[in-house]
Amino acid sequence: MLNDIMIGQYIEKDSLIHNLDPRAKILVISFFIISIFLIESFLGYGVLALFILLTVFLSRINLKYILRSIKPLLFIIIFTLVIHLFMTKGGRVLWHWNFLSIEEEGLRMGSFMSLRLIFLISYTSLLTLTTSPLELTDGLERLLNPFKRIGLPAHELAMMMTIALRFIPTLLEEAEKIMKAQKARGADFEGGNLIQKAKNLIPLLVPLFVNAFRRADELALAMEARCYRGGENRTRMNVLAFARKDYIVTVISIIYLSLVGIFL
Amino acid sequence: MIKIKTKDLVLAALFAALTAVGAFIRVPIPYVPFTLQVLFVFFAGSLLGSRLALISQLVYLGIGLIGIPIFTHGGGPSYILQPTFGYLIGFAIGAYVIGKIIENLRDKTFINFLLANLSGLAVVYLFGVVYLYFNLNYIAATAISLSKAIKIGFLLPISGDLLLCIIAALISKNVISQVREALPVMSIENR
Repeated sequence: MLNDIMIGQYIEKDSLIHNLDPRAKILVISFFIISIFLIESFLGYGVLALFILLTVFLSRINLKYILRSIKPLLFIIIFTLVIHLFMTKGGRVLWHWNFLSIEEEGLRMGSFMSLRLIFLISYTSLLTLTTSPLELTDGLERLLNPFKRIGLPAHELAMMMTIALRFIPTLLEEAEKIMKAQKARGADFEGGNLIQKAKNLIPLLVPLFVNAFRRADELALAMEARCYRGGENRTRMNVLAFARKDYIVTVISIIYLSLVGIFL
Repeated sequence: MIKIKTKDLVLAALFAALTAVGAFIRVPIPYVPFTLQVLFVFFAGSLLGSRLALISQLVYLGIGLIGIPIFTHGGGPSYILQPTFGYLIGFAIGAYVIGKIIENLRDKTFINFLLANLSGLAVVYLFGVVYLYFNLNYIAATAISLSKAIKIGFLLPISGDLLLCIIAALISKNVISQVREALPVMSIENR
């Protein structure tokens, strides 16, 4: 589980998609989302499915990982399908039983809407499957940089995300340690009535919060001792570079997605 | 440009991490086994103050959206499509509201904490239900009436959360004064 948290859904591989600049991937995904809401025909979805399959093939990610990412949203996909099947009316009656009936339009709308969800989920999951969380925060920071002028603290947000990522496993371990330590001193996290149970949480929460404040002080001091003063003029070890392949992939994908979105 | 002090930046980040950790700590209570996550939203509001609480919850949302499985059903950008994503947005705004109310209150009593938490909870549900309604109507394109959205998004789950509100309010005063005592000269004194 700890490992899951550290790397998220990222699957390390050496592929064209993995090696793309995260900004390129985020840009293509944004166009993908716009285009999927513009498409009005099943033919359009067919052409879009080809695009998704090509990306999956190029990313060398096993299809089963993508199917796995659909699972948490399976409920809403099926819900959409079923509601449309029985509620949307129009066209020929395909199936009929007592007061229930499935009509042509319901089947069309139901499958169209659920396909839309499936495509959206599988394509966006490709982003997190092929890009490590750190790369992603880095890319987001660079993409949001222009919005600094209107007051968006892009660097600070990315920095906080990185720190939070780094400390989730540490704090999880710490919480477990505190619970064990307090149990050894006789704290009871399970018994008692409601008020008692609420009170039992105090010996867990107080050290957790105190440690968070202490750690924040120490870490801030350590950062400032190393001359951290926000994003300005900060240099980094791995600088994101938008290479030729990034330009080519981005331009081709955006043209493809725009054409599909506008004409189909 | 919004200026965030380094110490505040780290603190908000750590509370974001704590919120994520809270989801993994289960407290067994009959009928409503809950995780500490919602408690951390309440405490972020009361310990960090409105602004930092909001930022910390936004950071929590951010790391969930880039694919770290810290939400109830995992994570990743497609989580926006979940009908329940509105509650997560509500957490951020709710933490802000709780912080704001506590900042403006002189007496730190049970009733005041309860009122602050209840207002925060109201915000969480406001965002949750409205999002649920629009999500089902537009993303899933499924016609659902507002009254039905209120029923499944508010009336069914509210009782457990009300209980949590009371629990959080019961221990807020103790927790906050003990944290303050432990940190006599450190970051908390102005809050």
